[in-house]
Amino acid sequence: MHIGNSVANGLPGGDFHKCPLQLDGETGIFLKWMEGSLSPEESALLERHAGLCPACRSIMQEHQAVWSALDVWEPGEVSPDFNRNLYAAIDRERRLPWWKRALAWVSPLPVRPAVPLATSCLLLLAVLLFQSPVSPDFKTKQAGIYERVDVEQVDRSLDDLNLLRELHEELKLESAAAENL
Amino acid sequence: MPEWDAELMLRVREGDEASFSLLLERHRNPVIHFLYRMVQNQAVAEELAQEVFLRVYRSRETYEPTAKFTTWLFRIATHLALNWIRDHRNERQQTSLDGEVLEGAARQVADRVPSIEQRLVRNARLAEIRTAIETLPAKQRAAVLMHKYEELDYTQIAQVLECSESAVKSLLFRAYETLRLRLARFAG
Repeated sequence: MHIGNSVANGLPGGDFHKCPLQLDGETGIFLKWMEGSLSPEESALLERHAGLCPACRSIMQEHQAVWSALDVWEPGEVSPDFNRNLYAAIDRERRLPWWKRALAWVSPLPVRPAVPLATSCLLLLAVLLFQSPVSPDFKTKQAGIYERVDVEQVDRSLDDLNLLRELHEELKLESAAAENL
Repeated sequence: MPEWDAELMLRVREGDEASFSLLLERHRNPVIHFLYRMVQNQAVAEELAQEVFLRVYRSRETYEPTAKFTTWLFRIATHLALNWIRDHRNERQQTSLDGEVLEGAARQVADRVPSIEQRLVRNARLAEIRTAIETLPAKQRAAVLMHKYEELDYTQIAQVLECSESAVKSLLFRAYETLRLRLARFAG
């Protein structure tokens, strides 16, 4: 037991900073003393130490004062209607259909205001993801089409360019002929 | 008599309503008193206690005596109280204690008929105690109240608060240290 060791190691008393009970972080002993969970020998040892150590004596007096002060705080009288109201609530619940009784299990759960909002956002996101045309399958199909079309498209573009060039030449010739006239 | 409580609850599970009444009579006051000290409002404490016993009644069919009945009961009560404190934190900060001045103290005072001065001193002290308890973090408050007034041991408090025994010791140590520093002058 800590207290035995600490006290046996010598408690000169008088100097707060040199008290082993303080230095060893054993102040939990005061809590045990206060709640009465120390053995009679341990209590006697601690009390003897407190007689020599003003710091521990002061702490013990303060703890004792708090402990006694808390005893003063008596709760108020319970309302005489308490049982009647409770049995009425039980009776009301018994008469509910089964699905409402099941809901009663869920409803008292702590539902914070952010939860419905977050749920709505998640639902919206899910709907958008599932209904969006850019689903993964769609993307794959599109990629395949682009790959297939790629070569044909380049060929066609080159043909178009040639056509444009020929047209341009023809237009040039026509305009030159018009100027000559 | 924890085994007796579990036995009563098992009888409630079998449909014995009288056993529920016995459980209610045995545990009603400790639960209400604990809740009152947690939320510091008698009406709210009774409302929460109604919910505690309603939940006990609802759970009768699935009840298994895996823990002490008192531990289970105080777990429900603490859960409800902590939720209430969390949801009303801002309101409480704005409310003064003046509104419901020391109901319990008045009752005690009447027994011994002290002088007006004694009564004032007593009420002032009680107000300080209530404020000191109220300003503790909610879990420390619950631990102190169960330890001091309900005489639950560390194991039970740990089960109620769903933490380790060493965490309970630490909670209690910090709470009592805070109370000692705030209320030290009472020792004088």
